[in-house]
Amino acid sequence: MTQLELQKVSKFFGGLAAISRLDLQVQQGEIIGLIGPNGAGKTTTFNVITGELRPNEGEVIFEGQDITGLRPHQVATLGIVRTYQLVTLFPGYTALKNVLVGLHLGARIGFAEAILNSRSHQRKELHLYRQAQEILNFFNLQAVADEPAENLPHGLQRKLGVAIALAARPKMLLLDEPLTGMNPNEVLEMIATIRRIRDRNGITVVVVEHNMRAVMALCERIVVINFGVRIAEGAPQDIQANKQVVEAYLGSDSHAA
Amino acid sequence: MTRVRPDPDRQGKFLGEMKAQQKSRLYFLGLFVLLGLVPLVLRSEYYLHVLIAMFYHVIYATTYRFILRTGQFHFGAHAFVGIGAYASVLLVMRAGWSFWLAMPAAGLIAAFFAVLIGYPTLRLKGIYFAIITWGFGDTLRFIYMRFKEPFGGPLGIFAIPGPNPITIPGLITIDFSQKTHFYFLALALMIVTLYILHRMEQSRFGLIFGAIREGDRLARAVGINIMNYKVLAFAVCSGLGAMAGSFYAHYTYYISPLDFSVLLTIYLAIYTVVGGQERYAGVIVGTVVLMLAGEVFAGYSHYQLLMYSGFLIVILLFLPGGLISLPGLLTRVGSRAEEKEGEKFRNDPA
Amino acid sequence: MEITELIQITVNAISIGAIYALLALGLTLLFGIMDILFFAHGAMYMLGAYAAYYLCTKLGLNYFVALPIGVILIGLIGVVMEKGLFRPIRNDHVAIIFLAIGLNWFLESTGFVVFGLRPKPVASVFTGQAHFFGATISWERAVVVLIGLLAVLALYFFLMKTRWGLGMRAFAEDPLTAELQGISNDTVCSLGFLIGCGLAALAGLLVAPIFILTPTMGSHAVLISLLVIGLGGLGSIPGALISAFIIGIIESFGTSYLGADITWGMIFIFVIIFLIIRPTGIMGVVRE
Repeated sequence: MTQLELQKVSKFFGGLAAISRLDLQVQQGEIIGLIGPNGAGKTTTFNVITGELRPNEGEVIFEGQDITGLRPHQVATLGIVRTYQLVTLFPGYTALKNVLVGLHLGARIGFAEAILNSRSHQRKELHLYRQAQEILNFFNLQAVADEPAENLPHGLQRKLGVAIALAARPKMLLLDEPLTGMNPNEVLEMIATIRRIRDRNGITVVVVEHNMRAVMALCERIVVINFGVRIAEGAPQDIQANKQVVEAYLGSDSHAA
Repeated sequence: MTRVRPDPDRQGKFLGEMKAQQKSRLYFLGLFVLLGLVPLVLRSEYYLHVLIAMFYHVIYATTYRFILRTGQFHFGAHAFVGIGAYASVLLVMRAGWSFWLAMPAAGLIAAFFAVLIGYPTLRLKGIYFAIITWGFGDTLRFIYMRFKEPFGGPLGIFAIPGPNPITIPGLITIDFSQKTHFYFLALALMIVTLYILHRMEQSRFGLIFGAIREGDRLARAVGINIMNYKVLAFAVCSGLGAMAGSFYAHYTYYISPLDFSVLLTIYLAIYTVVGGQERYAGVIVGTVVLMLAGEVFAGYSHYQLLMYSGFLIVILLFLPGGLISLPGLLTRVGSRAEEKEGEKFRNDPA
Repeated sequence: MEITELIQITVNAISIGAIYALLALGLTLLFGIMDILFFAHGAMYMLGAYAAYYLCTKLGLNYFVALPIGVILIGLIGVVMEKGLFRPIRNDHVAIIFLAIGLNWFLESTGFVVFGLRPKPVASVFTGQAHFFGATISWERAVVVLIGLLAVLALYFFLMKTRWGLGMRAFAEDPLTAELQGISNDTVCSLGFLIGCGLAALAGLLVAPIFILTPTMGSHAVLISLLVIGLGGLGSIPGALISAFIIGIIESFGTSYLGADITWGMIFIFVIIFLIIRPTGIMGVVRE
């Protein structure tokens, strides 16, 4: 079943098309890779889906609903949550608090009960706390739960970024370069974690990533875009054999080897 | 989600923290009792008056600081205090309401105005917000001055009745004929306000306000409606400030447009920065210290403002954390070495 | 309404607008280049007006000798403030705003202590009136318009044609690039304060013979210039000029037909409603 669909979406920056009449379908429960040379429009695509940018034309349909032009928090409420290319966390908060913030959409705590600190409110807080713990455990971050996020090593920060996104109970995760700056061991662990997220919770995952080996290992389907246009689509082995794709990469100055 | 057994130690710690939070109620009650004993010892009307003024200024300043902490450069605290004062006085004197109804109603009216102003303007950079709130305050002042009916014009409103008497049959009658009665009312208002602000900061709402400050983009991406949170803080704090304004009107029996000029907001900004805005206690310290110091110049308002603003400049340059950071600063000098050790673990994301 | 009356009101509008434009120019310049909302602008304006009082009335200097002396003196005070107070906390925007607030009211209350409470007069330099198309304008107001116009032109020339002006505009875009162009950020900031405070002082010196001087004139002027640059769009110089004249026109027509106090209330309400509907002002870009 098609869960997310982009229909002829274009986004211009001062006359230059970052993406141009882009069509994209994402199936429920798949892990799909979005690749392309630098400046191909991958992050712009994410920004358009999550409502951080409003497309100049075209529609974004999520689960049959037109979500074009919704604001980011509304898109998140519908179930699309993203991570960022540069590590984005709440730096001064501990890892645990970061995840607690991520749990926002499931929190349902009213203003009056929070002020009065009633028993039912305390039960809710405890419940949230347990959920946060579970998520930290899932990412093997329990040891650093009380560590401020800004003090964590880069690899753990990336993991925490995904943990925050997962806490928001998404139906679909958009991961922007989740493996950048990780060592090979961390990359393997993250690939396994992303697969587990999909397998256990049925969450669709869209990945933008430059590490080709990892993309080939992780994704079931890959869409290649260049200059904001889709140039190829298919299973990893088809993409590797695709002449156009090879040309796009060779023709551009990219570190994707 | 996988069921992983939570670490029992850690959960114990969390439960302990929650217990401690529950206990905080007792601390506030204790503070109330402690300050409630003061009139037994202190018989001087003058000192009681200083304390009463301090109490409602603490309300103004702590609510003002909460709005600042949501990242908005608020420059119109005087507008909302004024709305509270005028609304409650008019409800009592014109509509014949009881003070006990008019005061919360005044708070609601101010909160309503805060929502009205807040939605279109809070999404903008702080400076625009500063201009609009200052302009709003001065527009209101103009309206009070211009329309003698019902606002009393430049001379203001005289002979405002005090709060209606409360009688607990057979036990006590509080008729606000004595300073101590006002003292307890101001104290109760302050403690309730402080408790509400404390809970706002300690609860999930504080967590979200902090998250918005730490990273608004990410906050939005996990589904937080930043506008709603900012408007909520703005409305609640403005409403609480307005209730203190209502108290002020019925305590002093007289209000005029001059009481609600931008100088009030300037004073609050100074209390906040001098005390230290990082922590909630800082503002209280700032308000208490400066108001006590200001008593020296009581009646010479230019010297008072001179001292306050001079204080502000010195603190900004030499003690950016405010007075509240002073004890921590002194103890930290010894442990500089440890801090350096900690730096090593810091990872540069670039 | 007769045509001469209309011309008269327009002439008044221009003379009021010129003062507001001068006031707003320095404030919007500092905001546009350094992203500083310099509240103490009002105090510098007040000091400028008192400089006119002390230099002309007390020392008996010629007004046109006092003018450059006052401007340079107060511009230099600005530079000293930048070096001594603002530079150490340049990167902390919240602290900078509070510092500027502190300075404004510090100088204002100092003004009360030093200059006293009694309003001070400065003798008119020009007497008599100019006539054109049936409208009259007092010479001293005409001089304000003229010098204001010259100041705008000079500022424009400075920003567009000189190396320093280029450096300042580059700094507004990106401080690092500006540094690469060979103009240090420190120089740009000092220069910004020199010009910003100089312009405030110029406004003060020019209005000294027209207005009555009290130490609170600064805070009032800051609010007006905030309304002007808010309406015009923060940081935009053309926006500030346009909105100064819009407010000048409203004030001039309002005072003629409705009375002064209600006009100012209307201006407040107009600007606030305008900003609530379009919070970026006439020329501003949205900065979220």
